[in-house]
Amino acid sequence: MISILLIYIVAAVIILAIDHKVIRNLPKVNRWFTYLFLLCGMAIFTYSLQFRHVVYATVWLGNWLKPLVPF
Amino acid sequence: MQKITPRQIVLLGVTYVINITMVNMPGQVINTAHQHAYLSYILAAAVVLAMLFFLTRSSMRFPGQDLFQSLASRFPFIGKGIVALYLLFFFMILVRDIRIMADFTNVVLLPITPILIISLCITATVIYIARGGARTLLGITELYGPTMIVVVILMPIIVLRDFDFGWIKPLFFVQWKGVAEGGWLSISYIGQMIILPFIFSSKDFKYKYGLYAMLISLGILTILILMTILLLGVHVAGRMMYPSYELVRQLRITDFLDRFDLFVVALWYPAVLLNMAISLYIVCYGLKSVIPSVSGKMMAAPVGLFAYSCAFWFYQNSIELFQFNREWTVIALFFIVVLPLLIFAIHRPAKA
Repeated sequence: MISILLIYIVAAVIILAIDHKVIRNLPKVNRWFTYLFLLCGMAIFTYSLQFRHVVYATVWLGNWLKPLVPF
Repeated sequence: MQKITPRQIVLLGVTYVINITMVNMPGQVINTAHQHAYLSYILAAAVVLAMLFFLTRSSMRFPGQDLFQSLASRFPFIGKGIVALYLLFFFMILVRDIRIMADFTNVVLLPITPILIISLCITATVIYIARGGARTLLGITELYGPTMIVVVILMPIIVLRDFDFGWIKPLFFVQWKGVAEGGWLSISYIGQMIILPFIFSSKDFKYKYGLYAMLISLGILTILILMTILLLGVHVAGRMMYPSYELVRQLRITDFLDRFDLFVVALWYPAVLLNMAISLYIVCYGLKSVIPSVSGKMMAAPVGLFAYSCAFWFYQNSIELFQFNREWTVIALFFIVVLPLLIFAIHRPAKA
């Protein structure tokens, strides 16, 4: 299970390592957005692949939207 | 940036619509509209063209600006909200496309490779293309757009002798309910064409370019779905996940080239990656329009990786991917019909 999460962490570390120098020279908001997306991505990745009972977004949305489908 | 030519705009529109639609739609549309599946595409395209007209007219009120720029500058709060909503829409398209391609690759091409690794490879490639910016996207589009068009046009010549014209009979007895249902399913895919006035300024983009792109896309999708029906039949094609791939598998150029499908998939696959890169570029470009201090290029990798993780949370499995097409249209219609009408109604330059 941890090895699956490792895939995401390695990918995130590679992104940070490659872009680190450029992002440091850009306005701070770039840094915050980068960290925000990577952390949110990791949380979603962990939730969807590590938990037993997952509420999938389309299944949940599908239940709400089904009455609006005319066919 | 170098000057954007009409050909590039048309090819980008065509590429953005056909590549995913041709793999994910035919089975469901044939299942509902039977031999008149092509009418579903025409119905959906007519609605999208009307909305594209409204968006183009709105864009022309702000010369030299695209709709993302003009919305963000004209209405700092509501405009940026609308742009943010469109970002969400194209982000969901990106997530859907990553999952579609990962599933397709896993089912058809690499059954033993874990889907997580396939998705990661796809996402990494998409990120690298999107980081190249508009110039890279347009360059690749000019390479793969015409190639795909030529391949699809040549396909009927190769399989002509295997066609069974009995499958499209009765020709004039149209089940309009089924056609409308097929149109409902396909409008969310064909409606992706509305992106053109959002990323190209009114100086470069004219309505006729959108019209040409739509007509070419419609022609290609119609050729493909008619070939699928004529070769596989309504009942078989309607129950397949990827009837277009099965169609391509039937292509054999005598004894000269047995696995012609590999050749076509090798050409189509980069075009699909380009498709996803366009979505990622739109999301990053829109983000820059909402928050000008954000670097669109630097956001490509984090947003791409975020989309990668969302691809496993949004969809439970590949069946859900197809089933959600019905409900997805409800969301898509808000962006393809409701918001363009709202933009057309309110988006005007301030009176001096």
